[in-house]
Amino acid sequence: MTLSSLSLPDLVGICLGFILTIFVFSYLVGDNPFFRFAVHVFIGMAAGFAAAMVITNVIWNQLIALILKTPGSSFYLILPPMLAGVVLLIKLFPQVTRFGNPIMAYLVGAGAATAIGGATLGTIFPQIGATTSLFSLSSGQAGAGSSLAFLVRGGIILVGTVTTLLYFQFGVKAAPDQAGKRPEWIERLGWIGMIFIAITFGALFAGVYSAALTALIERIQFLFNTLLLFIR
Amino acid sequence: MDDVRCPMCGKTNPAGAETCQYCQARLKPLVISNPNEEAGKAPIPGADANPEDSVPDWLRALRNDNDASQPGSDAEEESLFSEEEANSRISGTSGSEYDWLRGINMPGTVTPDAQDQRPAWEFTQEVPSIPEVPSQPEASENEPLDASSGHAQESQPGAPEEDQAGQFTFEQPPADETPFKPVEPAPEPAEGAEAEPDWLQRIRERQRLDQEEVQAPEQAAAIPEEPAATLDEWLASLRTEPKQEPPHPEPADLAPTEEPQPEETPDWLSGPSPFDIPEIPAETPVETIPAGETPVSVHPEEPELPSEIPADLNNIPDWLSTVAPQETSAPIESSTTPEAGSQPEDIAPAELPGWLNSMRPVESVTPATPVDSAPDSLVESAGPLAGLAGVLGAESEITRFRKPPVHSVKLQVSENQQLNMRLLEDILATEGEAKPVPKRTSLPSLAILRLLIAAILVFAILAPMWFNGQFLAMPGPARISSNITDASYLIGTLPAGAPVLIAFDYEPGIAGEIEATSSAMIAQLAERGAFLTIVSTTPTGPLLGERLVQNLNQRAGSATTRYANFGYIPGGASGLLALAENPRLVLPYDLRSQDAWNSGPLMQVNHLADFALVMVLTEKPETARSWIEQVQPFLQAKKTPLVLVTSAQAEPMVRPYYEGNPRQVSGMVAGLAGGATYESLTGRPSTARTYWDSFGAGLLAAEILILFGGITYIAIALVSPRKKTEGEGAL
Repeated sequence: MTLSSLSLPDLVGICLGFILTIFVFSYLVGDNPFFRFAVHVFIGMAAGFAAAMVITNVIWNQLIALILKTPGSSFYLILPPMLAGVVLLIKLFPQVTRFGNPIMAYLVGAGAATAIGGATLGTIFPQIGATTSLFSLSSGQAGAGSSLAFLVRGGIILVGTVTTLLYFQFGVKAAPDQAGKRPEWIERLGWIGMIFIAITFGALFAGVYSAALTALIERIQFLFNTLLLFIR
Repeated sequence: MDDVRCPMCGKTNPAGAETCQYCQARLKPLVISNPNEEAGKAPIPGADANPEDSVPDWLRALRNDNDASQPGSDAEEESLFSEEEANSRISGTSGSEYDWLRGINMPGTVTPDAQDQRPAWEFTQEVPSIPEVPSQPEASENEPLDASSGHAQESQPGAPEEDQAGQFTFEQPPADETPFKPVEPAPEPAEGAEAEPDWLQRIRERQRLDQEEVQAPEQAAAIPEEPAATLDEWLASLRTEPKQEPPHPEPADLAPTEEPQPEETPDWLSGPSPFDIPEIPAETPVETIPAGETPVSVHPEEPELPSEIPADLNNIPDWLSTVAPQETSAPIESSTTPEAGSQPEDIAPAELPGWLNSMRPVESVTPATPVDSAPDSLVESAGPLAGLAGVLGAESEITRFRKPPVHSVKLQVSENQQLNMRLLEDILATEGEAKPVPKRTSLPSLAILRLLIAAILVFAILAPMWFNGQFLAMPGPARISSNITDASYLIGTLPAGAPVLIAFDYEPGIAGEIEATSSAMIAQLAERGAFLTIVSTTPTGPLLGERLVQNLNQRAGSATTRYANFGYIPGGASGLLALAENPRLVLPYDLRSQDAWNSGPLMQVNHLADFALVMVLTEKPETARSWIEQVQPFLQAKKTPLVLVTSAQAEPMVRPYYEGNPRQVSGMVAGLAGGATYESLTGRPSTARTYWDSFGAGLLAAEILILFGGITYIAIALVSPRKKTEGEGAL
């Protein structure tokens, strides 16, 4: 790729990207106006693009264009949500904001019901079934010649889950003239759970660092390629 | 002194007590000493041992004459008098001698003439009726009484001389206060009665004049004229020389009068007494009223009336002679406390009649212990409770007014409070003062360290790029996990031209990783001719999808990738649910406002399960969970696989969905390592291969830095021990 093969928009885009990337990297020396400028530009562009996307892709495509292009039955399907959307706009005015409360309540209720139903049927029940099948050799998950490893893996998962939950058990017995203290067996098992928690945090940190490192690699490569583009 | 026994309850009381401690009955009745005692007859209980000393001479003479004239009627007369005295005691007032004569005619009263043989208990509420004094002629009643002129009274043989103050007053009680019925007219005196003595006539005349002076119309209305006339007639028979009348007292006042001693006793008085008055024990002291002297009462301050009575009152019946003289009218004073240690005069004990004796309280119901009266209990001397002790004072408490206490309204502040107040004031005073900001001494070292670490990382990343070499090998088959294999299998087995739904749900900031991870997969899809259907639950997702497709086309050298970008799905989880139910309704048009559902491979797609593959690209575990919870159940209808392409940071939270049984995610590729593995597995080097060396170098540099920092920290901790806080033991 050479400068001559790039179009003007692409060139401007590359230059802006290079500059903004340098601005963001300037945070290494501390907070400075260049970094703030880059952050503000990013936030503004994201908000603007989101507004444009909502207007074109939601309001126009899914509401107005639908009515214009397919009148009749589509109109009656679109009319209730259209009116509800107009009523929600009333909440901008304090004097009549209460009239938008029923629509808001419907939205909140529908969202909560969807989330609760999905969590129950999509996460809780399947995960409970998956946990119970950790020691089931007939579940099909155990590979050939790895039954012991399968059981050990299941045991480790079980011990890790129980000890991790016990670590967060902070109930103590009230003692006169003494500070509350957890029972000894909970203390010991909680210490084991603390190890599992530490391992989990380590894995999460590794994943975050891996993702951030990959993003850094991509940016550094962009800067490197841009410099090469301008140098060569 | 010996104790006194109460005539009512029989309890013993101190000798000086005037009222019983138990039943509050009067212990010293106001009676005149019985002259029969001197005659040798049975003395009246409670009578004084030597009554002669206290009896005036004229009275003594009267008694002697009366005894000589009427030897047979003394007992009844005494009993009658005792009865009368008992009645007066019950009523609480010692009325005039003629008041009780008029007012004792209660319902059911039995006249002495009737010779009633009824038992004593029937006379509980009865008072022996005594005939009214025959009324005087009307002309004589209407005559104005001139006290100054005086009226010469007919002298009666044996009538006592008129004394200055001695007078016979007929006080008729007010009509509303009269508890008794009118007294029946007294019978006419017997024809064979002896002529009245002069003194008696004088007495009667005086009484008549008194009656005339007392102008009480209500009394006349209350008391029929006939009974008054009857009384006047009776009195007329006993009339003596009229005497000058002193000013009449109040009707309620006790007007002491002197009882003349009638020379003859009327027949009705001479009859046997229907009452049996038991003798009062001699222990009970009885006040003996000497002749000519007024009895001692609760009003000792009242002036005593002269008790001069003519000595020749020989015809006065015994019962009349025993009547106590009227007390002088005196204003009712306020309650006074009886002086402690006062010794009232002895009074002859009263002889209780039978009916009164039956009222005597039984021992069992009488209080065993004396009534605890306050040593300084007040004896009321006014109002209807006059004579009673231990009552509430007539004076209201308000009369004993005193100034209310004045409480200080000043705030009481202790020294400790003042000290705290000063401290608070100092704190508030310094609150507005600008304090210098302390310099940060650790800033240079931290900045250098930060820059150093950044330089190392940049060098580690830049070096492979600079040298443009592949130093690190791609992941081998031993490191290929099942999730990547499954994803590769699913993509590799897609039919040509199959519609594939790809959701670009990641932020532009993490686009480098996601694009590096998913580039090989999307390129493979594009190579297999799959129709890419781009959707997103974030506003910037469609743009990222567009960018990805352009990159693919740029690599391919031609715009051969078929796709439809339907844009943004509003509503979050609710929008995904609606999309899963009816994608055509949720996304009717693409970003170019074209109906892409009715062209190409999407014409056969009516539900989400009609897609050959659903791939979700996201860096957030929540977004992945929403797709799995809302959309995956609808994909099970046709067993449409769901493949996740996630960031390395979201893999731990999303992996359980892949490893569950049954699996909710068919395949998963996470992070640059997963992408590189996929590229290695499929033999399609892509962006991940480009980043792999730098990625390795960066990981190595990070590991070295972490190790070096840990060793340095431990060394410092060993060399310079420092305090451990409570939070250092925990993670």
